[in-house]
Parts: sequence; C-alpha cells; structure tokens
Amino acid sequence: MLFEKIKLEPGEQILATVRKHWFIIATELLGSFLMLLLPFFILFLIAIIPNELLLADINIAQYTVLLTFVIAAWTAITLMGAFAIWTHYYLDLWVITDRRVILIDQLRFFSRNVSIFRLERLQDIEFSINGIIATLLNFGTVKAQTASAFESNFKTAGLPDPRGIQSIIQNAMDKRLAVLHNNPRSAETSVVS
Amino acid sequence: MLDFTQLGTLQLSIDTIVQAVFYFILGIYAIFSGILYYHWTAYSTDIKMTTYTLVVYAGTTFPLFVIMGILAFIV
Repeated sequence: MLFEKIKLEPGEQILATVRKHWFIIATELLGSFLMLLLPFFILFLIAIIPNELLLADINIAQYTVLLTFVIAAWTAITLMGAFAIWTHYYLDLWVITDRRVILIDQLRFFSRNVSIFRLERLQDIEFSINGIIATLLNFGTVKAQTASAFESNFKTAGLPDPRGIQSIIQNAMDKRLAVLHNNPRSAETSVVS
Repeated sequence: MLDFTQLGTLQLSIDTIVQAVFYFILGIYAIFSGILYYHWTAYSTDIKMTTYTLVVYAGTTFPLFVIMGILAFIV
C-alpha cells in the first residue's frame, strides 16, 4: 500500500487525503459510457434507415454471432479504458500531514510523479475557482509555492473545496512553524530521518 | 516447389479472423489486468476500495471474455 512506501516520520499525522472532485471523474467516465453505447447506436441507425438509402444491402440477422462478438470485444476494451480512467483518478492524490504535503500525480500507468514539500518551506499557497460549474460545485486549482531551488511550484486542478484545502495547509504550516520556533532541533531530526 | 505467385493472395475464413482477434484482445486483457492489479495493490491507500475495484473489474470484464471465447470457438 502507498503509506508503507511513503514512510511517514515517527509521530507524523495525516490531516487529509484529497482527490479530484467527483465532477472530474464523472465527465471522464461519461465519455466511456457514450463509447459503450456507440455500437448499439450504430445498430439502431442501420435498423431505422430504409434499405434503399443504405449503400449495401445489410441484413443484420445474418451476422448475429459476429455482431455479438464485436460488441462484446468493444465493451471489454471500453471497460478497460474506463477502469484506467478510474485508476488514474483514484491514485492521483494530495496527502496533507502535519509536517509536509505529498502530491502524487498518476499521469499514465507507467508515468508517476511524486512531489513532497515540507510545510516550513512553503512560501505561498493559493487557489483559483474558474467557471460556473466549478463555482457551483466548489472545485478549483490549488497552487503551492515553496522555497526550493528546483521546481518550486505544485499545481493541481479540479480539487474539491480548494478554500478548505488552503485552510488545512495554512493551519498545519502555522502549527509546524510554532513547533519549530519552540524546538528548532525537531526540524533537524525530521530532515535527517 | 513453393509457388510464389500464390503469395499475393491470402484467404482467411471469418472464423480464423475472429479467433485471431480473440487471442489478440485476450493478450491485451491479460497484460492490462496485471498492470491494473499491480497499481492498485502498490499505490492504493484503501484496501477496501482496492478489493472493490478489482472485484468489479473482474466481474464486468471476465464474463465478456467467456462470451467472446464461446462465440469464437464453439458457435
């Protein structure tokens, strides 16, 4: 499982795990659902169009077995595509702990980007909500900027309740900075571990 | 002697094509299922959701391959 791979530090607590908003996966799966219906729609069209208008004389009843095989194959491939979409959705997440934020970006099956930034290195966290649907359903883009020398921006679109995520991270950062201010050695031990 | 003039034409029955397509899709399915299983067991955060997803995946796709196999080899 994922948390065994991440290896949380001793005493580190997970505050929230955030996945993209349900509307994102719903729109993607709607495409798969429409693809699933496509062969039936084509069969329906062939059935309702008069034979005179068709270029070839097609008698569907003669090809029942072949058509069933083709539809079963199409359905299986579409379902595999739908499960790939679901996998990418579910395995793509933000893990917010009381010490750091871990961003797991499942781009493709063999393309996975894991970014970790410590809360004390966080410089700025901002969110944006653009569009009518995003405003009504309360999802948007969360962007975090750190004091890292390398890639210092972390950005994910389609996160639910971006204001809440910002608040959780901001509160966790304030508490972390207070702890480090009172006990600076805890930062050294956590970096070493 | 091999008659090379016959190489230009290739006759395959519908049954052979259907069986070849079945083997091809079955191969893709086997590879995809392995990759899916690996990702869910390695990177998921919730064992219940992992089990649920894999059961639904097998429950929806496996019967289709049984139907395809029956149609390709028996009917």
